[in-house]
Amino acid sequence: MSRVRSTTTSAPARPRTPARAAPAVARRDEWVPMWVVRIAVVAVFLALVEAAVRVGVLNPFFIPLPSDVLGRMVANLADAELLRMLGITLAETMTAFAIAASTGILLGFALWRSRVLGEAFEPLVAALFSSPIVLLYPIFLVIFGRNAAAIVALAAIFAVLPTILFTKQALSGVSRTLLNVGRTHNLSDWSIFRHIMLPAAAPTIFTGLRIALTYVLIVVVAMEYILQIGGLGRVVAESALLFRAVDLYASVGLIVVISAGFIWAINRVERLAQR
Amino acid sequence: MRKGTRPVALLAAAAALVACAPGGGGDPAAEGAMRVNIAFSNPTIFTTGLPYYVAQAKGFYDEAGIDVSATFTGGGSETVQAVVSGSADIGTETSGASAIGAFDSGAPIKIISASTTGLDLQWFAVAGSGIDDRTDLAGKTMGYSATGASSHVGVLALSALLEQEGLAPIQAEAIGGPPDNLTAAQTNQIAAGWTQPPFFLDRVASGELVLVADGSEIGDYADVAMRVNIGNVAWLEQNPEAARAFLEVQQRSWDWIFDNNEEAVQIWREAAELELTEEVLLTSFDYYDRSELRLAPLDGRDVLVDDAVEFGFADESLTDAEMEQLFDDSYLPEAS
Repeated sequence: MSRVRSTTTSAPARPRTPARAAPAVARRDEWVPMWVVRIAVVAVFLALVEAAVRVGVLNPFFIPLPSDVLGRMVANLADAELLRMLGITLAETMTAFAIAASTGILLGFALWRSRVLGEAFEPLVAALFSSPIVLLYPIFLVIFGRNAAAIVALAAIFAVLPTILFTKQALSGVSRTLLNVGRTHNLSDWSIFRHIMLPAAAPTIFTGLRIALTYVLIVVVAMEYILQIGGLGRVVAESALLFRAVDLYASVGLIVVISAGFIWAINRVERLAQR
Repeated sequence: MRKGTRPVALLAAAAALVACAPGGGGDPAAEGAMRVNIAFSNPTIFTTGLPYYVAQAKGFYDEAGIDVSATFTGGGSETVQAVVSGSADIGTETSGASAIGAFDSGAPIKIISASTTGLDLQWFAVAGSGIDDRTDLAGKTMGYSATGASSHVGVLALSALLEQEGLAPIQAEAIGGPPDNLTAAQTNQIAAGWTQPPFFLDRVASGELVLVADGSEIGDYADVAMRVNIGNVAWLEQNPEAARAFLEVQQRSWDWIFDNNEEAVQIWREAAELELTEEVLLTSFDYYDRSELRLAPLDGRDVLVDDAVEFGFADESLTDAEMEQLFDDSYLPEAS
C-alpha cells in the first residue's frame, strides 16, 4: 500500500516505479496468457449455446449446435467448391485492399505534401468516408458488369478513403523536432523519410490500413451476399435462403476466421515496418 | 427499491399505451377483426398483387372479418423466411420448391393451397443482342427474382432442358423482379430476364425486346401448382378460422376479377401505380384463366418434391407422412 502511494505522489520516483511494476504485471500475464483467455471466453460462450440448444432453450432451426457448425467448418476444408468460393473472396479482398492501400497511401502523401491539395480535398474525402457509398453498387454493376470487377472496385473505393485520411494525418503528425534532428545530421530526404518519418507515421498509417482491410472484407462479403455472385457471401446468402443453418453459421465462422487472420497479418507487417 | 421500480412502471405505462393504441393503422372497420399478416413478392404483378388490391378495394376482407396487412418480399425463399420468422402469418404466391426445401430443413410451415398452376413465366432478351430463341441461351446468364422463386425453378428447368439437348447450361443470377431484369438485360449484365404477362409485352410488340422462352415449353408443368400459399404452423393452429377466411376471400377475389375484368384492371392500375394502359393490362386475361389460379386441387405434388430435390432446395424426397404434414387442405374454403 505504502509503495503504491509513494509512486503516485512522488515525482522523482517515476522512472524507477514502472520498472518495478512491470515484472509483476508480466508475471500475471504469463500465468494466464492472453490467447488462452480469448479462447476460453469463446469456448465458454459456445458451450453455453450448445447446452441451450440441447435443452431446448434455443431453437436448432435458427441456432444450430456449435459442435455441428465446427464439424461442418472442418469438413468444408475438404470441400472443393467451398474452397473455390473461399479463393474468390480472398482474391477479391486482396486485390481491392492492394488497390486501396497503394492508391490511398500515395494520395495521402500528396495531400500532405501540397498544403493546397490537403486543405482542398481532406474535408471532401472525410465527407465521402462517412457516406454510404456502398449504395452506389447498381452503378458499378452497369459500369463494370455483374462480376468480381464491380465488387473489387466498390470495395477499393470504399477502403481508399480511410487510407488517404490516416496517411495524411500520420505524416502531418510527425514531430518537427525529429525532422530537425535528422537535418542536423545531414540525412538525405530519403533517409529522413525511411528512418524518421516512416517509423513515426507507421502506427497511424497502419491504423488506416486496418480499417481499410476491415471495410474491404465487409464490402466484398456484403456485395457477394446481395448480388449472390462470387464467393463466401454467396454461400452465406444461399445457405440462409435455403434454411441451412449449419452451413450458414459455418460460412460466417469462416469469414470471422479470415478477418482475424487478416488483422493478425497486418499487425505483423506493421511490426516489420517499424524495425 | 424505488430506483428499481421506475423502469418497470415506465414499461407498464408504455405497454398500456400500446394496448390502447388502435391497431392496423387505426381502421375502425377492422376493430375486432382477426389480424392476418401476409407476405408476397412483386406486388405489381397480376397473380400476386391483384387479388390483394381487389379484396381491399371491394371490402372482401372486412366482410370476412379479417384485417389483412401485407409485407412485400423479394420472392421465393424470402417469402418463406417471412412466414418462418413469424413476420407474416401467410405467404402467398411463393414457389412450391422453396416451401418444400424449407420444410425439409425443419421450417415450421404448411402448404395450405395452390396459388398458380402451370408455369406462367416468359423470358426476354434485348432485340439485336444475338439471343433469339431458347437455344441461344446456352452458356449465357439469365436472371431470376430470388433463390427458390418460381422464376429460379424455371431457369433451372430451362437449363436442364438445354443440357438434355446437348447444350451448355445456363448461369442463373438472382436479379430481382421484372423491372430489375429489364435494366440488367439492357445494360448487358444478363443475356435474358424474366417477366410475367402482360409486362413488357408492349416492348416486345414495338421490337425493343424479343421473347426467347416461355414457361409452357419447359418441362411438364401445365398441371403443377408451381406457386402455392403457405402458413406458419403455430399461427395456423391458433387461428384456423382466420386462415380459412383468408383463403375464402382469395378465392372470392379471383372469381370477382374474372367476372369483372375491366373494373379489376382499374383497381390494379391505381393501387399498383402502373403506367401501363388499361388496354394492355386487360391482355392479362388472354394469358390466364380461372382454373390456373385455383386454390384447389393442388396438383403436381410429386413433381414439386422431385424438383426441390433435383434443383438442390431439399436434401432428400419427403416420406408419405411428411407429405401429409406439409400439404394441409383443411383450411380450404368448402366450395374449392
